[in-house]
Amino acid sequence: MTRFAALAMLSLAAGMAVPLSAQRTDTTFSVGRTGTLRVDNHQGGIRVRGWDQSSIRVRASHPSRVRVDITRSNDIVRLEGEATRGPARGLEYEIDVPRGWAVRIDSHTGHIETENTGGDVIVSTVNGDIIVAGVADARLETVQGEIVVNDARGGIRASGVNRGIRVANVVGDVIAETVTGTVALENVDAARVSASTINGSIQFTGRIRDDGDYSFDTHNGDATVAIAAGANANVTVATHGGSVESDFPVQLRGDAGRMGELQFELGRGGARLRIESFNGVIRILRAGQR
Amino acid sequence: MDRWTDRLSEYLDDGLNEHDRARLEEHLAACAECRGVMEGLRAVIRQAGALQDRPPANDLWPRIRERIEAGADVVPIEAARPPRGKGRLAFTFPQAAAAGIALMLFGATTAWFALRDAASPAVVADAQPAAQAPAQFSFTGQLLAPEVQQRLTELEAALDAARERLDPATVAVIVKNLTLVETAVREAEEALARDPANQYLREHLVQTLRTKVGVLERVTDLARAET
Repeated sequence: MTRFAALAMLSLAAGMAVPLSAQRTDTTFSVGRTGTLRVDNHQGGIRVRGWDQSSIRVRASHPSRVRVDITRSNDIVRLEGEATRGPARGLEYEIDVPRGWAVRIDSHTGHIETENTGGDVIVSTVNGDIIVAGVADARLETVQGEIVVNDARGGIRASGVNRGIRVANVVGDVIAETVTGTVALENVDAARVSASTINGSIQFTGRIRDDGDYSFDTHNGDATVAIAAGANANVTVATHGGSVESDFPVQLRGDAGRMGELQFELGRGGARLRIESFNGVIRILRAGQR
Repeated sequence: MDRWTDRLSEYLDDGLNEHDRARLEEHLAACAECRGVMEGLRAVIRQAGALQDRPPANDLWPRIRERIEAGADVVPIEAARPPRGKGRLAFTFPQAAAAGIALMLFGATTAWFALRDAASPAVVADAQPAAQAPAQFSFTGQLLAPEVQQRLTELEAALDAARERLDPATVAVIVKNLTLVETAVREAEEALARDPANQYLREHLVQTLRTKVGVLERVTDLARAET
């Protein structure tokens, strides 16, 4: 057999294998106005979108040995892959849910995305990015993946390990922590913000409320906080081997801080703002000027 | 970490206003973890008070203050900064994994000895030559509440079992990041050994150890989910 003939036969076999091994599930069913969608998936991407209908549509592609098990109990709909043997790998979902439904996803490997679901979102995965937009409260955890949140009206808790966290356009408290990677918080309006990383930078832009509590902490990285003119805050900055830069005139108060710290007021004082970098540069910028 | 944890030092320094002080005391009555941290801080203060007073080897504070008090309206406070490369580690991946394993074994061993024998020099003894160390005790041991120390030891011990259940790529990532956390802990310990009264360094060390606990808890949760 010539090499060309062998390749042609292999290609034909591969082409035939696709319809034999890949299947699609596409089902739509009615649900109430509120409820919770739970998805447990071992390996495969998941995309959930909010829509203005009282039904859920589940589209999934998966190997033939895997099927999608859909169970309903009261206002909870649960999706889970079932395999004839071993874990249900290769199960990719696209799901539409009524806007306002809560979404909970437990995954091992795969990119996870929710878009305009409008309700609370909980996502836990090991390998994969988490991208959510248009949510209320969100609790997001991944080990090997980036976390991206955009447009939220609720509290955000994001926990990573090996990649960064980006949060933008949020009205609600934010807690973001990772080990490796930058934590970037943009246009955040919150009474409480806490961001920490060991090996990455921290960036914050947003409103500083007079009664707010804001804490930014990195070990190896710069911490940059942009503050609008007119903000009232009691600021503490602390570093060991780094430096501090401020666009604002600094008025020390009292004994100006405990050992290792520098304390000063912006405006009338008020919010508690703490910025720490063990080894990096702390920058307090005037918002919109750089 | 809850919102009161890093205000405990202010409480001890009598730096809170009456309202915040009352709220914190309410919180302390209900939060065992914060009570533990508080006891740790008190212990460090006691230990620090017994130490020989010596100027910190790397105190940026006078220079920062000098620049600010000079009256500059816009303040770039360029404190001296060690070379960025100094103290940083650049590993190949296998080296990082090997270093991580070694550091974790070291961490678990030192924690075990610290728990068994409070007089053990533990981490500080390794981080700092004896002639420079102001005291022979572990700040980690002093700053963490006993139950948190215990939890840390349990989690470190559980790591080997977790490693067998997780896929190698995940283990490698976790080892890499735990190595980074251990390095940060060691740097904070070293800095604190030179400057034991530094409030920021104490709190930073506690925060870094909490990060370590968080990562280890995550690992054990993942391993549990794999069973």
